[in-house]
Amino acid sequence: MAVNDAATEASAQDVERTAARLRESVLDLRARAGGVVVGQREVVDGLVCGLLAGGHVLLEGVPGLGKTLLVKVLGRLLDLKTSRIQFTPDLMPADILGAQSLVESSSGPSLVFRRGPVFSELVLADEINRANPRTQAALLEAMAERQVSVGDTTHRLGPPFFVMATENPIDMEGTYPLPEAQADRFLLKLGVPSPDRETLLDILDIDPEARLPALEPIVGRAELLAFQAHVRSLPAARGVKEMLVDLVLATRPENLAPALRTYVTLGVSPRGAQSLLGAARARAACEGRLQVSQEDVRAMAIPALRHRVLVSFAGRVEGVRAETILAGLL
Amino acid sequence: MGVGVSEPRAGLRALERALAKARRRDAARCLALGASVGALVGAVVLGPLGPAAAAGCIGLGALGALARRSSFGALARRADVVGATDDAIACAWDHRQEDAPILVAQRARAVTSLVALPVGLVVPRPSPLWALAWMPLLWAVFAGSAGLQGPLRTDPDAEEGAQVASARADGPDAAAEAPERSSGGLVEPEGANAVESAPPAASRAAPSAPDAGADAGAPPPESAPPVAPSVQGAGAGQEASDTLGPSARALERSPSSQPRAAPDPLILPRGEGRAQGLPAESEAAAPFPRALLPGDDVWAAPGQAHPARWSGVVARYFAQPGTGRAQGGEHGGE
Repeated sequence: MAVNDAATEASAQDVERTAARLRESVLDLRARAGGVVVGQREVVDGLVCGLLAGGHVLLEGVPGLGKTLLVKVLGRLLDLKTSRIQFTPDLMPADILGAQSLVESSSGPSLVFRRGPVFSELVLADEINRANPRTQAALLEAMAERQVSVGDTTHRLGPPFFVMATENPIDMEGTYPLPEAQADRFLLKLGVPSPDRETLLDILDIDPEARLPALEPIVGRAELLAFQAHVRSLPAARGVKEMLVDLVLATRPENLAPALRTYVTLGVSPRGAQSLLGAARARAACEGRLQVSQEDVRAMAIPALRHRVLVSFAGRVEGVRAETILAGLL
Repeated sequence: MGVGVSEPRAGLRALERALAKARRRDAARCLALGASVGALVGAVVLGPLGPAAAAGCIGLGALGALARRSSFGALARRADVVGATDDAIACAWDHRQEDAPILVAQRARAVTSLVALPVGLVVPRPSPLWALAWMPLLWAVFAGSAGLQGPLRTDPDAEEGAQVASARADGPDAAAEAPERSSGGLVEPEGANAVESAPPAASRAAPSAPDAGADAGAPPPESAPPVAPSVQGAGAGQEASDTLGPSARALERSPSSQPRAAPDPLILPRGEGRAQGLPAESEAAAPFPRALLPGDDVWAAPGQAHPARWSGVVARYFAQPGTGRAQGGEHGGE
C-alpha cells in the first residue's frame, strides 16, 4: 500500500511538472507566433487548443489573412511535418490520399502505394469547400479514422495528425459547402477576423518570410503527445458536466424558445458535447489548471458548437447565425 | 502543491476534514436559523396552544433546518464560487474515490486552496439579527408571567365602585340593586359590601336616634358634598387604576395599605380609610373604600358611627348644658 502511494505521489508530481511545462510552452508559443502572425492571438489560442485536444480546426476567413502562414509557423514551432492541399473542384481523392502506381523494379513490375499529402502531421486544407463532396469525404474519413485504406492495405496517420481547413465565407459560387455530418468532424470552427488599422500597420513592418526560418521548435513530437495525453486526462466536476449537457440540450429545437425554434433545424450531437468538453480541457491545460471549469466551457462553447447548430432556411433568410443563438443560450 | 497532501490518502483526508469543518459550521448555522424561525412561530402559538407547542415549534424548526443543511458537494461548490478556484474543490470532491495521478495532484491543489480559504466566507456566521425573531416569544413569555398578557382592561373593581357610589347617592333602593361584586381578588372592596351593610346600620340607629337615623338613610345636605367628591374620586380612581402598573396596583392592594379595624368605633383616626356608620364587625369583614370616605377636613356626624347602646350616652352628653353642640342645636346636622 505504501509502495503504491509512493508511486502515485511520484506520478502526481510528474503531472505537476507536465502541467507546468505545458503552460510554459503555450505562453512561449503564443509569444513567438505572435511575432510573425500579427493580430491573430485568439486564432492562435484556438489552434493550440485544438492541437492539444487532438482535434481538427476549421478556419473561416477571407483570403489573405495569414492562414497559410499560421500553419507554417505552428509546424516550425511544434516541429511537425506540414503539408498544404489546395482544394479545387477537380481535385480527386487520390490527389489527397495517394494512389497505387505501377513501378518497374528488378523483380518485375509491382504496385506501390505512393502516399499523398494527407500523410503528414500538420495538414492545411485550403478552401476545403471548393472540392467536390467525394474528395471532401475522403479527407474527412481520414480525419475521423486517422487512417487511410487503399486496396487491402490500411495506413495509419500520425500521431500526431492535425488538419487545419479553411473556408471562404464569400465567393460561394461553385463551392460545395460541407455537409453537417462532415462539419461535425471538426473540433473547432474559428473565425479569422480582419485586422484593424493598428494591426495592419504592424503587419506592414514585418517580413514573415524572413522571420519564419528563425523560428526554433519549442515542443518536440514526443512532448506534444505527452501534452495531449495530459489534456485528455483532465477531470471535470459533475457540476461542470451538467452545465455542459444542459447547454447542449438547449440547442435542440424542441428545447428552444418558440421564437427561436423555427430558426434551428438541428441541435448539437453527442459528439459535439464530447468536443466541447475536450476543447474545455485543452483551455484549462493552457491556463495551467488541472481541472475543467465552467468558465472553460463557456469560453469554448461558441467555437466548438457553432458549426454543429444548423440554422434553418428561415433563419438564414432573416440573418440569424448560430453564434447568436449560442450566445443567447450562454 | 500543499505539503503533505500529495499522497492519495492524505489529500483525501485533508479534503474531508476541511469540508467537514465547514459542514459543522453550516449545521450550527442551520440550527440557529431554524430555531429562530421556530421561535417566531412559537410566539404565535404560545397563547392558544401553550409553551409546549412553542417549544415544539422551536425544536421542529431547528431539526427541519438541520435536515436541509448543505451537503459536502454543495459546500464544495460554494467554496469554489467564494474562493474563485475554478471548480477545483468540487472536482476534487466528485473524484474523491479515484486515485489517478492527475486526480491526486488536482486534489492536492484543491486542498491547498480550500485550507487557505477562510471558512467564514464559505459558511457565514449566524446573523445577530436572527435574535430579533426571539423577541416576540420572549415578550409573550414575560407578559404571561407578569399577567399582562392581552390588552389592558378596565378594572372591574373601579367600575363597580363607581356604580355603587352613584347608587348610594341615589338612595338605598338603588344601592341594593348595585351589582354584586365577585370575590376572590386580593382586596375586598369597595362599595358593594359597604352599601349592603349600610341599611342595617341605618336601621339600628333609627330607633335610638331618629334625627340621626334619617341622616343615615339619606345623608344630610351638609354631608352630601363630601360624598360627591368621593364619587368623583371613584371615577378618578378608575382612571388611575387603568394607568397603574401591576406593581403599583399590587402595592396599593397590599395589606399594609388596607384599612385596619379600629377598637373604638367613636374614634376615627385621620387618614384611615374606615367606613362611617359601619359596625366594627362589618367593617372588619369589608373594608370601606377610601374613595367613598369624606375628606379629612369633614367632621364626622357623631350619631352615625356608634352602636345603639351608646346612643343614650351620646344623647345625654349633647343634652348637657355648656356643650357647644347642645347650645348650637346643630348636633348631628353637621
